[in-house]
Amino acid sequence: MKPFPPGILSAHGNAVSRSRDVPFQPTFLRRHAVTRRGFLTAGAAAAMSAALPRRAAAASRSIPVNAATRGSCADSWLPAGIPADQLRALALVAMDTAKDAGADFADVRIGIQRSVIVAHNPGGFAKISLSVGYGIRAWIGGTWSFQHGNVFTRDAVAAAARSAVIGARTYAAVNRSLPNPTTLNVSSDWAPTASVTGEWRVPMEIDPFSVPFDDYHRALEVLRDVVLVENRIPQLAMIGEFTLAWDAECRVFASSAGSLVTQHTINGGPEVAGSVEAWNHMGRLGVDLPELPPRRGGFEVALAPDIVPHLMTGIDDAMLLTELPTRSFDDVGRFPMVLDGATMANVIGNTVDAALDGDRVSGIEADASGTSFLIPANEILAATKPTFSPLLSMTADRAMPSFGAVQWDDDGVVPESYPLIEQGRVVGFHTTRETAPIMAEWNAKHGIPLHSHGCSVAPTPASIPVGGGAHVKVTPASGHIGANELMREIKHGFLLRGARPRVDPGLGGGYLGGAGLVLEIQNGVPVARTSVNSQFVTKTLFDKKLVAFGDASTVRTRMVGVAKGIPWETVTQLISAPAVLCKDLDVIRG
Amino acid sequence: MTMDRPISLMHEYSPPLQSPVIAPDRLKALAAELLGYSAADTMIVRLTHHAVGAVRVARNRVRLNNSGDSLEIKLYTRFGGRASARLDINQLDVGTLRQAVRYLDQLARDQEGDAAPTNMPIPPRKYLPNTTWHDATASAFFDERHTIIPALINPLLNANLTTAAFAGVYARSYAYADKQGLAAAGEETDNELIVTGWNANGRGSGWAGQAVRDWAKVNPDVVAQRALRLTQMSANPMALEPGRYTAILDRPAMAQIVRGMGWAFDASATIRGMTPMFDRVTRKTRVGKKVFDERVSLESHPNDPDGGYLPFNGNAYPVIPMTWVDKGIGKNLAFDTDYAARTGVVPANDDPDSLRLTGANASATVEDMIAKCERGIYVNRFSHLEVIDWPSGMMTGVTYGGCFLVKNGKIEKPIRNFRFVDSPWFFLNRLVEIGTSERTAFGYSPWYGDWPIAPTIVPPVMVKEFNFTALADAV
Repeated sequence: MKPFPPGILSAHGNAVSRSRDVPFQPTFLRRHAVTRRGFLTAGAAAAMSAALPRRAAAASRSIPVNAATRGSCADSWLPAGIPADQLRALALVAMDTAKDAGADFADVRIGIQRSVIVAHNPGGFAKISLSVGYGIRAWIGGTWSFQHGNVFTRDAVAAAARSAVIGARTYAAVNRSLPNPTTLNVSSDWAPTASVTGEWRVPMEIDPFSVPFDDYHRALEVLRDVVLVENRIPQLAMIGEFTLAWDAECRVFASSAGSLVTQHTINGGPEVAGSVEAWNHMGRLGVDLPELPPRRGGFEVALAPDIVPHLMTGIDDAMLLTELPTRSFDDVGRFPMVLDGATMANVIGNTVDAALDGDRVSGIEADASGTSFLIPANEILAATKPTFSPLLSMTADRAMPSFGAVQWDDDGVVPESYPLIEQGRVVGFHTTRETAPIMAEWNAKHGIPLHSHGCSVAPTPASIPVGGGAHVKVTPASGHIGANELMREIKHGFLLRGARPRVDPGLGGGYLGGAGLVLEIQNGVPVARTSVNSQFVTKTLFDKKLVAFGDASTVRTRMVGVAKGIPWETVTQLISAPAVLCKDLDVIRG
Repeated sequence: MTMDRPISLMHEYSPPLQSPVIAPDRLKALAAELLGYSAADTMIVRLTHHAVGAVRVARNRVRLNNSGDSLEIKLYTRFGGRASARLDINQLDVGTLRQAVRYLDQLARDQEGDAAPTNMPIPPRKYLPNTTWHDATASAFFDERHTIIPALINPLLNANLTTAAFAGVYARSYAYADKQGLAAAGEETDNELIVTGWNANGRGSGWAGQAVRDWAKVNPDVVAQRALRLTQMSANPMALEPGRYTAILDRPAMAQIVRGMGWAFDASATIRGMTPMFDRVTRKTRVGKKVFDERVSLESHPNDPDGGYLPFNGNAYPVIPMTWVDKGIGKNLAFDTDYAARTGVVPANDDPDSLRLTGANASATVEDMIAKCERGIYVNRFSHLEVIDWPSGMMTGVTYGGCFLVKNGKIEKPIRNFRFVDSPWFFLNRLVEIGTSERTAFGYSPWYGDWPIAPTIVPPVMVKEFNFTALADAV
């Protein structure tokens, strides 16, 4: 294969389909004699590993594919890209230009993103892409200007830096002309940070861009067949698509204060967009398979032993459905409910965790993603009574293997692990250098230097940095409290699986309904599949209505995305939460 | 103060009077050039160049100016019945482009065979004029954008209100060409101004905005005065019991509702029973049947004087004016180009993004509606909208930026925001009054896709029994 011409950003082709001697056909579940989960846990990873040789051996492996695709992988098709040292050189051009043009402070993110997606379906295809971009911030007199672009020449980058500085100067003059002008200064009004230099890579064992596409298909077949064939239940069928996908990025951050860091990140793993359908005398019933959040790492993340058991919960749900009637529920009133881990993660992510976002608390998102009910921050932190139930504790970090893990955030800050809520008391917020001052008074009172938690995220190098990117963890109960134990308390109520709330812009309340799986519970056991609509007030829900948390076995992780700014871009956080039992949730007419 | 103009690709290809994007004729010529480099049987070239200039005000001061441009060239190639190959690039020098197309041909030759694609009939290649570009907006990118900020926010600052604002300009040029002989090129500009004010105690807010394609028509003074008035009127809102009320929905609220209705005219989804344009009793579409009050019409026109859009779609098929509902009667469904080819429907037309809702003989103003209202709720804007039931078009969202109790023909007091659950396919059949139509700003609306949102031209309406289901925390 000839080298890719320079400048090409992406190429998509049906480059490799399946190996000819492993034809695909749909399979139904077959029950395995050995305890299914035990076998799968032990055997699935082994099965997938056997189908996928380690990178060192791949080059010598004989793959019975057609001559045009033998050994073809993503790297065969993608351009070599721009080396990291060239990115660093361009970043320094931007910073030198910004300083020469008179910026009080400037920073730049410049990077290359590659992706590979291989889907498993008849005639499966590979999609690969490469995108490049940069974003330069220049600060003068308390006003930012941001210039983004994707032309990687010294002249273009320098011109963008000059434009950023001129924009900052222009709007700083506008600010001075306003009534009661205030002047902010990065060095005194933002949380300080030391200049950083260095290079960091996400640990990776198998480079997915070097894995032949045919091996992708073999791994997908194993994944699909292991999930489906081990349950011999003819009335279940898998509808949808398994995909293996990775995103890799080389991003350079530089600042006029002397920072220059390079990070090589990679996220990926199996993605599932589909459902298991069951059918009986009542017709077809579909259950979405649980989401698999991406993880930091190379192809080895697809072999993680927890993936197949995680998917098997979808099969269990479908099996349960075949035994339950479907009926409507027309009553209104207050009922106990179990929110499964996925529902709790969605609700927390869209309410309490969003309310802890420094961008919202500081007011800079007031006309966009919204405000917070946890204001003013210093009063919330200093409250004598807990804001929420003592059952609720939450922490956050950007540590491996979370897909948001970095060595430096997009302000050049080293992220830390930090508590958010301890036994119902708010003790922290998600902060960047810009929003960390919301905790200034609290920090000063407790002798803690003002600092950012490292939550600055630019979704792409050409994006404006905003707050986000953390992995938030709600502490589960210790001891053995599974979903069954939580349901046992319910005389008449509901179990919500995978529900997603619609939340008011101020996060103070919302509405659960329409999506997800709802089971009616009577005397501690599910008796029917139904649908209900429930509304809640956030503070009341997490203060008065929490009864019990599930244990670690009930924890589920969801990706919660928020569109920030105008124009808006989506930034994502991971939320891990256990199942919870709530009392007296309002069921309303839909 | 003059902004610097970045040295980027566009300067090589635009006339000296700077445009923020490459001229469409130049893009079209480039597309034709790229087709000539390829030996493939089928090739499609799509070029897009777009530029954004956006200023955000937060906590009473300009916090951020954001600008930049982005060029995309998407190439699609196929040999015979083989599977296709695609390649994206952002370089414009001839040598690189030639090499890229040669490489793409090689990639396409290596694809495996595939089922033959549907051969779509080539429609008449006659396009309406492209009326969506305004030189004044292009100029505003460089020289004038910052000048309107004081007019936009000073009235609120002087009234000691906490203020946030947004002023955005947008330009895009687009070209399409393929080896079947289809070619089209066009350009558009757009502007949006938004102001939100909050009272000193944080209770009660007012929102106002303006969206126009022509910078010469932006009027920050009007926007600021409206936001100021609404904010001051919204101080210390009281809680009102949720329930069904007569509602006066002003234009920003109706824009949010109407923008969320276009999907319902998709022919394929309707025929499968998945939209409100399907009659569950007769099991047929509601074309020819009453869907709204007889005063209500809904249409889309590329040359709409208050908005409009490019007169061709992403595949260079002409987009023609469509009447979706005429005086309450369902008139047309949208057959997209693929579906049209399979079913033989001509002309094809994609689901509408841009809509105009009008009322026959409409003349009522919001003030007229208030004067006529014995007891009801005035809603300035809705936010966080979502369709929660597709067959009925049922939506939920929250009121925002001005919500008042109306009693005995007057605004009596500000009230706390509500969550609503209702469907325009129901409440536009409970119509009391309808006003004149104007294009309205959207503000933060990621539930409707990327910024800027397609022009939506709507009237204020007064409807009975609108369903406010719960108090909402939205300030």
